[in-house]
Amino acid sequence: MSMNDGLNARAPSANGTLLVVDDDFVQRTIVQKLAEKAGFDTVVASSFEQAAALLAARRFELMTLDLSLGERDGVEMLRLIARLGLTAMPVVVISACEERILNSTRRIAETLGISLKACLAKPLDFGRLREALTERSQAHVRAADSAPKPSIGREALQAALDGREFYAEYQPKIDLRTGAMIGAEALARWRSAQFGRVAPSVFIPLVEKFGMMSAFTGLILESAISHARDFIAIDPRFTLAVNVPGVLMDDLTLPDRIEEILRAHGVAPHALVIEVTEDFAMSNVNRALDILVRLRIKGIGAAIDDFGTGYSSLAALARMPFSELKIDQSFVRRCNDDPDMLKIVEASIGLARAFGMKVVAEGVSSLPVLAKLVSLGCDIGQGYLFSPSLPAERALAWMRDLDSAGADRFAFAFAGDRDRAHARRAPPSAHRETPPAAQA
Amino acid sequence: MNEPPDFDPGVFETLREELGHEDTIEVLKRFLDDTTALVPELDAAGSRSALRRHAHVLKGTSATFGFMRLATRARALESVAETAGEDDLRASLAEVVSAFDECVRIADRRLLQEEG
Repeated sequence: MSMNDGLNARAPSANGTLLVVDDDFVQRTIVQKLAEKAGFDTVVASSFEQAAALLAARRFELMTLDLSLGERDGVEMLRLIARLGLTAMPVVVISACEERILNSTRRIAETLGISLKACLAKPLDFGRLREALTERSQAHVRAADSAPKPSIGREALQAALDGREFYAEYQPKIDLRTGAMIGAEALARWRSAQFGRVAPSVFIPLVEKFGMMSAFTGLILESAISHARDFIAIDPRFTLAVNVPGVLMDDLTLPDRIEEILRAHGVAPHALVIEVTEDFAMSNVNRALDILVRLRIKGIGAAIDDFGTGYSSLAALARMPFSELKIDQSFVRRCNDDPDMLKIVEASIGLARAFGMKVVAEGVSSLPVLAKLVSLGCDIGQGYLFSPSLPAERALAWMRDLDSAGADRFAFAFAGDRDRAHARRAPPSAHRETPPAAQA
Repeated sequence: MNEPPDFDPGVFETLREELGHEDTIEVLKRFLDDTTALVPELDAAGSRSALRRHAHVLKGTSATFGFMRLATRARALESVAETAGEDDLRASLAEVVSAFDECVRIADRRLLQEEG
């Protein structure tokens, strides 16, 4: 470890100290040198035991971890990190293992509560490594900037609820047969007077932790349903999807509360789809079933969200009256280049068909993926290829624009690769300038 | 057999852009030295799991430098290391060793010259 001899003598680097754990000299040296160029101090560990000793002795801002560590392995290291209570330290996994092993590792880290910044395959993509390292360091710098600022606590969250600082943005859902925008998913956002824009990955766990999920979801439902009429005015087939967290699928009053909000805003029940993740069924199947059935009786749609990522059984799926199945983006993104992912997408579409559900592909982010989904007969797509989530006014403008351009605005995409350049430009503004009819 | 080229100069160039010339040469030399020392240990009659681990590391590291044929052969070795019969394993090992010899030649001829 001679290369770290000068470490303590130097002033600390802006991004803090990175622990590089890799048993191969060449790999760890490359990672180390790249990290130093990215503004990190580095300490290297060439074995599991060395890394364990270092972790016990001092704090690191970040770790890169090779999954293969001689006779030990990176999963053991992740477990050790959890056992030592070091889950606040983000980890970048680097491995020559196959994609499926990397994906499983990601899941293990999630279960252990470890924040995995990235799972990078070897040979290393240096750009992605730098991105993973510096993304962390930006967060680090932000945290440092705001060091005296109190962390977001119960009172701040309550104030945000009272001040109605939470609101919905809308990500378009596209009919893959016609190219029309036939719905949108409402996604919760928070613009805080005190903290600025706060990411959902930050505030949602806090809302849950402080037991405010019911009030929070009510606010998002209100916000979203209040906009639904404007969308429906453009196309009466429009459906609005709102996420209901698993913890609320225990609350038997939910269907009536939702119905009341719909009534107050004059929105028909069939224009609303409630999205629930698979895992809710694990908590209290009977109550969840009760709630879902009553929602459906009232005419409200129900979608199973992030399908394929949770732990629900096919039996649970068969028992629940879902009207829509949303294939998780982790499968959709890779369905064009990973045969395993393709099989899952195909099977999911088949399963949805068999149960008479509509299929929505989440995370449609490229033309080849879209073409694949169209060829598989997927009903609806959602993702960055079409649009990110937009504030209500912009989402409405996007929809109107799409509507007036005719349903074939995305014909360029459905026709295959003929015009990639147009797809890369973000709709809708780019398409206003270049009418797509010519490519149809 | 449809094998990749011995060497992809673009990959090596990217590494050099990222690390700088000196550091790249340093790690390349270390890779060549370590692997040269490793070769006699690669034994079809020895520990299969150790063989698989060595092949795994070699696969990742060689590809980092752009030694694509070695990476492909190391991957093949990794995948059969624990299951193949001794003769097949020996053949797979010989492929890896010959690909590595070629890496040494390429390095001597093209990569280590500019050192100064």
